[in-house]
Amino acid sequence: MRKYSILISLLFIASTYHSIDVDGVNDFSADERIINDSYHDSYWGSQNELKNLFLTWTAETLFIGCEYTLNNNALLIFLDTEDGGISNANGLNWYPRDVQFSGALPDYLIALWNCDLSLGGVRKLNSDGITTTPVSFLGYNSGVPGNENFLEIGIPFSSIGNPEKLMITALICDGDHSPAADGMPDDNSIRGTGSAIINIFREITIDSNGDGLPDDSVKPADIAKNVEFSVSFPSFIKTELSPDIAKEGPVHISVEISDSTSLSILLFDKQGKFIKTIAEVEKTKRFEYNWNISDLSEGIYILKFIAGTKKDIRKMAFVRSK
Amino acid sequence: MILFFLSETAYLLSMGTAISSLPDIPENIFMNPAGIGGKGITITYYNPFGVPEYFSGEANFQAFIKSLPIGMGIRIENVNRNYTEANVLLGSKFHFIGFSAGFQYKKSPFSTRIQPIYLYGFQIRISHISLGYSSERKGIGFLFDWGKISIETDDFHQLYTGVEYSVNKDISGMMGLNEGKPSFGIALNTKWYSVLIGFTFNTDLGTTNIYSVRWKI
Repeated sequence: MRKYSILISLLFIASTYHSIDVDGVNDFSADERIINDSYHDSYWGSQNELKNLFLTWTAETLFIGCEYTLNNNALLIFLDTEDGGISNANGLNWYPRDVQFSGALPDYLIALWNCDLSLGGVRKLNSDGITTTPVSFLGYNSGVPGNENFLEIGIPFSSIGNPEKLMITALICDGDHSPAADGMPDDNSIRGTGSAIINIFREITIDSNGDGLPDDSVKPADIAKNVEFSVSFPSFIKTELSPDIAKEGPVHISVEISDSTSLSILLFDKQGKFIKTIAEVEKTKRFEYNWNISDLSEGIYILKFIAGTKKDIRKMAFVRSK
Repeated sequence: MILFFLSETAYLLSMGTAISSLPDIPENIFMNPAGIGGKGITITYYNPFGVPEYFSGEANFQAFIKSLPIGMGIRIENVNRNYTEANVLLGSKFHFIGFSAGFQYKKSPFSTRIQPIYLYGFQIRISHISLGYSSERKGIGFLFDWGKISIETDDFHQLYTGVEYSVNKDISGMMGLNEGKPSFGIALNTKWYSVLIGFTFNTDLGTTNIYSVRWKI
């Protein structure tokens, strides 16, 4: 009798795993829809809209489905599965977009261009914020540009490190380094122009007891919830000039930033007139530079340090003495 | 030697630095000594663009010895604790001609230097129009009951303009353009002193707030 009850129990539990046929037909169930986005909230009109995001799994595979409309733009679905990942998508060597993240650090990206999955795929986003590594997946996109599309992706859990928890956000962006026009979950920083700082993610716990196996008795729609993080940006930890009064160069400039981001160092005279750019780096966390001051005449100067697109700014005075 | 633009007070910067054609302005000891006059002491303090460890202060004195107007200006800048630059000028004017002379003091960890500096100029007033010329600036001013307008240049490449409007005897406002950079200021006057607050705007480095207090002797 006990054998039968265990078998019945196993069969019952196993039935809550849902294997999706990755064929472009939406066979996700209603309780696997984890985000229902307005179909009229894109900054780029009705042909570039996100609609629904679905998520479910079996013991081995994570399935993600996305209903959307796209016309000559890109669909990007960012996943944060673990510690690490990227805070800024603009430096990536694959689908770079003017999007930053606060709170979650996505480490996987599902992307396609203009409804064509052959121009995209799934990649791991390495912590250097630049490089990406292809991840094995099964995918299918049905639909054509300008019409309703359905994207289905199946990713083996083993390929993404058997995460206990996922944070997810989906975006519509234009070409390389462009901003986002629609997002789900909704995020106020998405305006169709300028850099977006995504701080609202959909969180879903996949393995609540941490046993390495996805939970088998949950409805994804019931356990998915929005998580909103406070917005924080890369900021200066240290800016140093050594010496800050110099007769001859070089002057050693040392900069440390809380996170890897762009850095500019500009020089002004004491009346605030721009003289020149001393250094400009696309991505750095620690920056050391020997500044040649031989072309500066005697006087008081102001150096302006700018980190990141949100522009954490520091100003320092420098004196070229005789 | 030629003296370079040295003064920075709330009134001067609020007027877009265009003051050399205007009469009875204490800061003219640094701009056009023919424009000094009256009696008083002005003390100014500010932190340029909010840059840490960079402080500026200026003191201007104006008085008469018998009927001869005299002025004195002291400007001090301290940068990164170890660098101090001071400019001291003493000047006077006779009718429409003015002259000021003094020294520039620079102290750094490498050296201490003192250099002589001087400045000359003239100012002519015809009815509501005042013309100013100095080794620093050339300008024209318009003097009205309600205030002043001033337009200047240094080398005919840069333009400086300022307007002062007196709301009443207690309040006046200033606005100016210094090489295209806007500035604003307000002066609150009492019988014995004035408080002046100036704001200059720089798109790259931000706002500077300048505070001056002027005692009327």
